[in-house]
Amino acid sequence: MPDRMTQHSLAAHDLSSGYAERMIFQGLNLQIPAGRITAIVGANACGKSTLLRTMSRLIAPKAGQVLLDGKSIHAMSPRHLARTLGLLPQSPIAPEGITVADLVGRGRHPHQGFLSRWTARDDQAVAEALQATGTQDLAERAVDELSGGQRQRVWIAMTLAQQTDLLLLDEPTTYLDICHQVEVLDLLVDLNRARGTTVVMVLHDLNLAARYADHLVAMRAGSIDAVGPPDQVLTRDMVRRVFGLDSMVISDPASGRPLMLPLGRHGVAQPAARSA
Amino acid sequence: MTDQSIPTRLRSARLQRSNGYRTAVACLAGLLALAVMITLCVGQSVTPPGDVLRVLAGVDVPGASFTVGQLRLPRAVLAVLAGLCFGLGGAAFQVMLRNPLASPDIIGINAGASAAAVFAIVALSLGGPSVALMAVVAGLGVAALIFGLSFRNGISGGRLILVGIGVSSMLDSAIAFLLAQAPAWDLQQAMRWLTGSLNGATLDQALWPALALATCGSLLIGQRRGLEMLRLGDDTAAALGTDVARTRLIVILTAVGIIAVATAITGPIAFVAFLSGPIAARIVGPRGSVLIPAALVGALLVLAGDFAGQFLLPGRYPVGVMTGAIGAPYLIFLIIRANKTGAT
Repeated sequence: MPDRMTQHSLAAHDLSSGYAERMIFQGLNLQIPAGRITAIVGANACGKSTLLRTMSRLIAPKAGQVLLDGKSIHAMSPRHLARTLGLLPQSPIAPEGITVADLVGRGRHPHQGFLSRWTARDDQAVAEALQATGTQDLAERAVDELSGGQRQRVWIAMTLAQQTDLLLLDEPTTYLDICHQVEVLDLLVDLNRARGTTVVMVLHDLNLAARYADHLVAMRAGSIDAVGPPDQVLTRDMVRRVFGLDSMVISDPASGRPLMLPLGRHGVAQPAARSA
Repeated sequence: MTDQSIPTRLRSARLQRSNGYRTAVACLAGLLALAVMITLCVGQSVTPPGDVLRVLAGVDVPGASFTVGQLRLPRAVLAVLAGLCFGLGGAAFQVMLRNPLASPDIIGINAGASAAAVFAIVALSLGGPSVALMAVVAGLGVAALIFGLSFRNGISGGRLILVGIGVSSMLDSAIAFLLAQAPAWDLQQAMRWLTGSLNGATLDQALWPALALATCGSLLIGQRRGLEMLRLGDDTAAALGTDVARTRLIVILTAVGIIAVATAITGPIAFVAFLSGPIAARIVGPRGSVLIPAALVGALLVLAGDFAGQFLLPGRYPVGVMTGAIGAPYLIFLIIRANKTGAT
């Protein structure tokens, strides 16, 4: 694979979004750095998933725009957008009995015409996706039979087969044990380095976000609290504002990135005061 | 630096999958043709296949032309057409909402068409095409009602099924009320129609379901790739470039159209829409779209059910009684399984 750094820009411009009459965020502006890994973090229900879903066109905005290369994604044809921007939702569904190769092949959908002629290029793309995720030996296995970690790699393989320059992932490490979480994040870095894919993901784990992302977006109650490189964003003050949690932020001896140690009321030398 | 053997392996596995799918569909089609032939040959008397073919070719065969041409052929044609409609429409709903319980006969669309037809027969003393038209309009109206009532930030299969079952029982009580008011002669006609029956089938009745299949049915089959994508979840389907709202709208309109037309002609033949998809999925597996196999299975079910109801049991039963006898236990099985796995 050649090093093709993506030039695609993705940005939210005065974006407001929500469900029915409930507004989740309003007038939000955000620029996603091209060719980098961005992690969106924040407490539950702060709007991070809604932001990701609006930026990938799953939700129509109430106001404002999501601009891909300066054009509103909500004005593009779904198929056209799906060739540039890929998304892995939080809970995709594997049809009963479907094989890994078949599922990963579904990622080719936006590249195939109405009559669905399957070409050698499609096979090649699926093969690359399987290899990149180390799932080539599972190709003919049924997805239902796989472990959680394997299944998540297969889903990522499906989005890789889509061959988009931008990849958005909604909590790709949920329900995985720590070993598989690290494996999935390593895979995304590989992808970013090898193909220059712009990665945007919602992550629960602050420390893994700081370790793996180039760019952090911290959200609080529907607005952006802090944006920038992890060592500027992940601070004690930010953790207090965003999560309402007392903490200690030290330099991670393994990576040199910031590492957040929560301070609760128990189990630490200087416990936090009981909050009102 | 991809391992060159992988694309080759993928290709052969893919070809094997699609060949397996085509073989399964061809077998089903062959089985259906065979079943049609048997029902044309066998009845109260047995007609040799040669005579049947000659009657079909338009030759006047003494002793066979009436039985085959006037009695058995219209019945078989109508059974096949209605079965194709029920099987196709039912499977489309089940795939779209990712739930076998989301079949039109469970969520009230058949009940809507039935209530309108009974109203037309009993209260308005109508017959023929006007009954059919009212059934179609009511089927679409009920579909709009169910989807409208269950819409909240998108459509959830579970919510829609519950709303549909509620609407369905409301319509059932409306039907019961209409029947209680009915004069005796209309009552009999309405009851026979309600069980789903092919008695007194004529070839001109076949025109409407044939037209519905040619228009709505082919539009619906044209959506099969979009429906396959919807099986991955609405979000994933949208992320892969499927226009979810558009696919869904076309599927609902066309599926309701064919189901309501078939219901208007033959009555709501119990559980054919509900059973065909899961049976077809068993046969073709995850190798391809279930729509066409489900249509063929639907036709086989109606044909076999009608044949069994006429000749295999002591006494004669309408086809709806036979398909109901197979369908009801399966419904119970599904509900028990859904309770165990906590599926929505």
